[in-house]
Amino acid sequence: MKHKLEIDGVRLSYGDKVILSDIYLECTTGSVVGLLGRNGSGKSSLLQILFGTKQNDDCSVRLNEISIKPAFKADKCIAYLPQFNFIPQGLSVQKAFQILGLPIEPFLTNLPELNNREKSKLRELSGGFYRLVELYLMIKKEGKFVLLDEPFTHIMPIHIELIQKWIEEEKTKKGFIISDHLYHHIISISDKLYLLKDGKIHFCKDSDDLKEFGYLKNIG
Amino acid sequence: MKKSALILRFYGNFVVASNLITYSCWKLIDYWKMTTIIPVLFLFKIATSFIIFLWVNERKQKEYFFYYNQGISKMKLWSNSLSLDIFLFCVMLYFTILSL
Repeated sequence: MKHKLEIDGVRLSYGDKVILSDIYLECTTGSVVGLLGRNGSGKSSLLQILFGTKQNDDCSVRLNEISIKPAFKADKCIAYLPQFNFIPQGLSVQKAFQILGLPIEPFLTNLPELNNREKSKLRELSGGFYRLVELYLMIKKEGKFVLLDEPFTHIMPIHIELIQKWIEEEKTKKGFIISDHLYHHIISISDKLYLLKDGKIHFCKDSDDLKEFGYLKNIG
Repeated sequence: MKKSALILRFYGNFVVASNLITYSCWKLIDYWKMTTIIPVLFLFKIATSFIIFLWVNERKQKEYFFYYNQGISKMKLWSNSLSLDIFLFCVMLYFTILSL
């Protein structure tokens, strides 16, 4: 069964500056939605409003036409990876997997560098591995939708391919909304691409559209 | 993991500071052998709980997302952990008064 997550009527402003205005976004299971935009364009705010951790009284968040606000309280529905480390650094890798109810073995198979480090606290890992643990847990966590805010930032290229593989594996049963500045990775993995600009959301087919909207430099 | 276990884990962030305050209140009552100071100590406990809230809230802003991802709101985390803390304080008061 396909599921559809929708958000509409998002309006956000700070003082006179309008950040988001009448935004509508939808994502269905089995698809990846890429969200691009310049710094301060409201990408993270939109994801947090969708997740339900940023107050926005006017907007509506629906799962299969049923209101789920705040979405994070809906059972086994949505996972959100913020752009910063958020899993308590005092937890061991093994404990983090246990709390999320996921087996650690497939993760260690993917990342042999972390073999024998299951009992290490997250704070003892390098920044990149800490982030990979969080990414894996959010991507694989039981649920229907995953929101990823800057998943590729500070990750080395070989591990970016690994993240893309995890997303592809889960895509069969989940929907993803991904925001990052590394646009070529977003373009390569997305089924639909959107650009936030001047408070509005614009559908883009490819990098030519991104150039047209002024997100990429038009060279030649 | 059950939500109650996660709330206890969150309570673990300030359990030492909070129980030190409870312990010092118990020592004060025990030292003076006076029940009349209980209302003052109760207010002291409430005030220090508020300071602990401000301190933890500032330091753990990012960790809230870990709990949100388990379906637990900030309100639920604090209301449950502070209720437990005040309950433990009241239990201490009760047994201290009995022993006087």
